[in-house]
Amino acid sequence: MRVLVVEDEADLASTLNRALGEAHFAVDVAADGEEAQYLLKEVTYDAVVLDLMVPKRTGWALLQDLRQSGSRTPVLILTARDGVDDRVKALDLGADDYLPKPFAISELVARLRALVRRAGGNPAPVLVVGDITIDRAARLVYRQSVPVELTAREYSILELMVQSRGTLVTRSEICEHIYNESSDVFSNVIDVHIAALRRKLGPSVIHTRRGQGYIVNA
Amino acid sequence: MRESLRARLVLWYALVLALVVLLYGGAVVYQSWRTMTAGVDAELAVYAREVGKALTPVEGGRFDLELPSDAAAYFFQREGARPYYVIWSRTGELVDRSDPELHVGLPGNAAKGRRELSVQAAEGATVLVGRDITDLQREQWVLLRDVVLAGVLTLVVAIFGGWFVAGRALAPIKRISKTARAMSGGDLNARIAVESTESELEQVASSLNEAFDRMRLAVEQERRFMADASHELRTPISVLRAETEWALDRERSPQQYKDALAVCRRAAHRMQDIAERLLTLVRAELASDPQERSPLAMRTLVDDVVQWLAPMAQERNVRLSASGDPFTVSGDAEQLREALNNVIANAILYNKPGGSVTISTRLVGDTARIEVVDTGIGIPADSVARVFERFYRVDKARSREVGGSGLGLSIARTIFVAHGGDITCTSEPGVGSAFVISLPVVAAPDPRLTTAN
Repeated sequence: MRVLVVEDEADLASTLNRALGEAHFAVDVAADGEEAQYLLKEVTYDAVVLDLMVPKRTGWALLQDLRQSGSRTPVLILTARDGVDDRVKALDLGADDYLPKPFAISELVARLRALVRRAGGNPAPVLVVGDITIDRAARLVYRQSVPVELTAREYSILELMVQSRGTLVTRSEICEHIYNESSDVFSNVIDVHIAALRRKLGPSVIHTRRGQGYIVNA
Repeated sequence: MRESLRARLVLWYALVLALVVLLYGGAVVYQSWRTMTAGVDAELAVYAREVGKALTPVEGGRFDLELPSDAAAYFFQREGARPYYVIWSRTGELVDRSDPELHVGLPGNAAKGRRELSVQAAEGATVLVGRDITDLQREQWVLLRDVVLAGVLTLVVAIFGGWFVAGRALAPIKRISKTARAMSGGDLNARIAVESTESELEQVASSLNEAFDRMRLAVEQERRFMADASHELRTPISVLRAETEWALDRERSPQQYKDALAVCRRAAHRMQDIAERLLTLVRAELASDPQERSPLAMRTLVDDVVQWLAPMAQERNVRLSASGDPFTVSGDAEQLREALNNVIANAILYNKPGGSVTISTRLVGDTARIEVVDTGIGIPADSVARVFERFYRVDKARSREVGGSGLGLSIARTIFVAHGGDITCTSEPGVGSAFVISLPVVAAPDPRLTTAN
């Protein structure tokens, strides 16, 4: 899951980058409003962590633009402003969640996961596809109740595919959601991961549409 | 409290009125009695003389009495006053009496309801005349009763009227105390309803309302300040918390721990800086005691600060210069140095390499004007008015870069204002800013206090 963190406090941005990375998010960091706006235009994020008081363009303006452009990306406001007025204003402008600073990283991660699940249309933490069960809270996969060992990347690809069940997912879309800006990947890396997933989960879960991408049938 | 005040007012007022009524009524009744008795005595004296004159002694110690007709008519009226006379001889023998059935004692022993007067007549005879005064006495009693009734009625009306008027006059006190209770209960929007501005108490209510307005403003400012301060501390606390949580989440490499500790140290420094500056601000606000002030040579103070900041200016390649008139102000040296330092440091920090900061001191009338002009980045028009607000930063990123807390100019302003002065700002983005400090000058420039710079 790819996340944009908009935070101008360099130390906090760096901590968030590391912590969210370890929670298997692909993280991009924007230190000001203009950079964030550019990234939001270029990349389809699964979630945005937004500080309201960032230089150049405020979080308010970013949020407003994002929603006016029709984006449905979940936005979590992370700010030192904890007044009821600010929360109401942010939520009314289209924010999905609000976490006042200081915060617990574990709570931020759990809220982000919940936001991503809800945005995928199914807030349940456990997904079932055929004989495959995916526990999204623990990031564990079972095949006929037997745990399946997956790498972090494989898990992320599987979660993405299952979440967009019934629709075709291209290689570049997978890349966009799994890797952050600083990763340099070739799309054939995706093929390698898919092959590994097929080997571990059986051939009936992920189907290939030759020349287009992959699909998990609904 | 109000009831007792009202009761006391009315009680005092009633007591004084009762005393007046008593004295006045007493005087009226007494005077009337005096007039009545004097009239009776005069009447009796006339007839006693007539009787005396009409009494002529004949031989053998006997007397002859030949009353004139008017006196006879007087003594023999049988209604009302029923006057009478009694005559005794020198030896105390009864000579004559007008009414044989009437019992009369010796002179000086008038019976109740009668008034008597005795005179000496020829040959040592004693003539006593008297009359019944019951009717006249009754009249006096009626007068006394009327006076008492009128007095009591006046008192009752006065007490009730006074009670009512005092209640109306004191009503605002009840409203005032009710509102004051609401205020102390935390309702800062409570105000006393003012009905008219005529009475003194309504004026008190208006003044109190104004005081309440100022109080609410002060409390709101305080609240905003607390909110700002806590907001300001939240950022470094977030860094501390997030970084430590990340570091403790799992086993890290020594380098990672080192980096995490460095992040924590930076956050701690920032918190310390904020705490120190908040303390300075509070101290600047508290220290308005003119006793602690002493005459200060402004130029010396400016030169001190310039010298102190010179390395910082050099490091940023900013030219720093000071010039102008010497003059003396009254103030706290420590605080004024801090305030000047904040303004000048600000001009250096938000400058361009190769820029300059020029400080000039001038005397305009009895006001000292210190101008700090920089060739810096300037301040956008919509921010100029806000630069002295606590925690306001024109450019947050730039401020963080140079280590600004958003309090420096606010502290400076607080100090200048506490010294009876002010600081204003004009700016043109991209060209530079000018901060003008004004301070009252206490005395003519004292050559002993100025250094020969």
